Amino acid sequence: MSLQLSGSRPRQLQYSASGLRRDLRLLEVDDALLGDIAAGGVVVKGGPGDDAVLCTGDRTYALKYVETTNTLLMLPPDAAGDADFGAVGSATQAPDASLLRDVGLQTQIQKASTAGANPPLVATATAVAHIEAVHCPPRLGQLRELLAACRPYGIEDEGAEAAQGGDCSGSDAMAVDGLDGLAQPGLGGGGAAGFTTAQLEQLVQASRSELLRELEALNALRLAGRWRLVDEDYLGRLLEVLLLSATEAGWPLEAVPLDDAAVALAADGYAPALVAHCLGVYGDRTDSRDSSGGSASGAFECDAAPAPPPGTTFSLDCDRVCLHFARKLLRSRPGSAPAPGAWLRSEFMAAWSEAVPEEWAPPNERLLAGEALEDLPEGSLPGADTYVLPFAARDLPLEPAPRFAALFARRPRWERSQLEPYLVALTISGGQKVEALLLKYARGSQGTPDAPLFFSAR
Amino acid sequence: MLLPLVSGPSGELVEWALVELQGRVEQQLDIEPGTPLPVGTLQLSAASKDVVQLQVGYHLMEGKKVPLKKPLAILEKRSGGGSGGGGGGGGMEVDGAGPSGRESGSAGGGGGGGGEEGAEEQQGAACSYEIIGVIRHKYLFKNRPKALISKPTGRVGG
Repeated sequence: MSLQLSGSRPRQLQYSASGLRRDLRLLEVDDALLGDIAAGGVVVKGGPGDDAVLCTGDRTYALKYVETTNTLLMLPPDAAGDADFGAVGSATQAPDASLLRDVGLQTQIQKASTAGANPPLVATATAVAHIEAVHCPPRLGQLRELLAACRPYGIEDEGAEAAQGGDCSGSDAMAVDGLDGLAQPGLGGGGAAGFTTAQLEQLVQASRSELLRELEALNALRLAGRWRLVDEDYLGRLLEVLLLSATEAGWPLEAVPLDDAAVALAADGYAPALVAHCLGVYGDRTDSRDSSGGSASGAFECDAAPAPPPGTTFSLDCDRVCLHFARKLLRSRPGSAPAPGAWLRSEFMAAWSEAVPEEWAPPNERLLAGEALEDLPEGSLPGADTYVLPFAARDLPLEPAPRFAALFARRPRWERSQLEPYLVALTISGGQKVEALLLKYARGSQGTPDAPLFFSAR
Repeated sequence: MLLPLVSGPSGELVEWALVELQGRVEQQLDIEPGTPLPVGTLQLSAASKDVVQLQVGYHLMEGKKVPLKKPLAILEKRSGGGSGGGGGGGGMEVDGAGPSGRESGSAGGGGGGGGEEGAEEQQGAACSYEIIGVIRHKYLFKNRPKALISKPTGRVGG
């Protein structure tokens, strides 16, 4: 707002008769954010111990409180006053003009009386700080903690939700129990475990779309409107039964019919919702239109479970299925020398090729990046058979510093190509480039100018 | 806890003005409560239309109107239900939302944190921030005040 000042007509600046308000907040925004606020759905989020964040529908902003020692006086628009003032002809004050030019010679009293003829400028509020909103990565650690506190879906749950199959009046449940369920997440049996989307939105400092994307990345399952993780072994067994059934029934792996699969696996005690989930985790719906983003994201909008139409087929993903078998094999050797889970490379590759569906053997070795490391047995010559040792990126801390510490604890010197798979998650969650991370948390060294670059702890 | 951030009912944002001064305005005048406190007078410089002058007593400050790089939204806390414990005129909470320790430590709202946690959706939704205006320019007086020395020329008396 312009203060409608002129050279010849001073206006008095005054505090409002009721004093200055100190309870107003100044939030620095850009026009995009202003638009988002106008459109609705922008919230400030945070628990008592958290730093607050601001979330739009798809972005998260950190709020920074910036104090100033300057005096900030806020003047609301005074439409009436300004209009009157603007209407006063510029010449009406002419008699005083000669006097007013000599500003330095006026006393405060004189000037105030001149100014008194004009409408005053009234400050009604002051502030000692403003708040900056800085776009930041979503704080999803909380989501993992919440879900981890909740027992993952497993064999104990079989049959428990058979009755709930398609009954997902999630929005009602959410309105009624609110967050009451939070006091005992995971303690309540069966369908009571887990969180509704609304609960997670309240508790996790991330925007809705960032939250849903992470739930998808975590392969979380929503059953009866509540999100929970699924036990990995359980889901893996389900996948294997599914693959067997596919072979028996002659379903092509790139078009597994959901309805038939659900019926076939119900005999083994698997709930149809879990079969659909398993197919979604290890494959993609073949009829998924682009608008639904290749997943059930459209269905997230309402709090009802995604109900694929009859005749839906899923195409199983070679990489995801092969990775499942690699992980299973790596987990299967708890006591082997030289370290738990170690395989001789040749043996591992043979077992892995054996395990995956025939069409997909032999599996692609690059899938092991970020899952396992290869070490030469001690004292052996280069070229000897190496060990494959489990070392999964997804088990490492999400924060850069502890993650690098864990990496260098495992191996003091890393080649860039081997290190990178373990840093991908940081670049996603932290928004930083690999180069920037390496520069900050690692030291690069080269034995000779043409030797490969190694990274070690700083 | 969620605090919705909403724009005013009209949807149209009114523009406020901001006057920024270095330091503080010390109030020496005792005024009756309920009457406005005069601070000084504002006008444009006779020499240049770009220069804004603020005269406080015998001191003159020169500043200018500068556009803000990013607009400032003015937020007013609205506590819908009767739950607005710290919502009185003096309350200054971002409500546990304070990024700095100092902020979350101040005033009563922080102590109310536990209660708010239990309050959950119903009351959480009742409390909100409403944008009551936006500031796009400020009148910035960043220079030290100059003393106005009036020589006794006799013209003053006239």
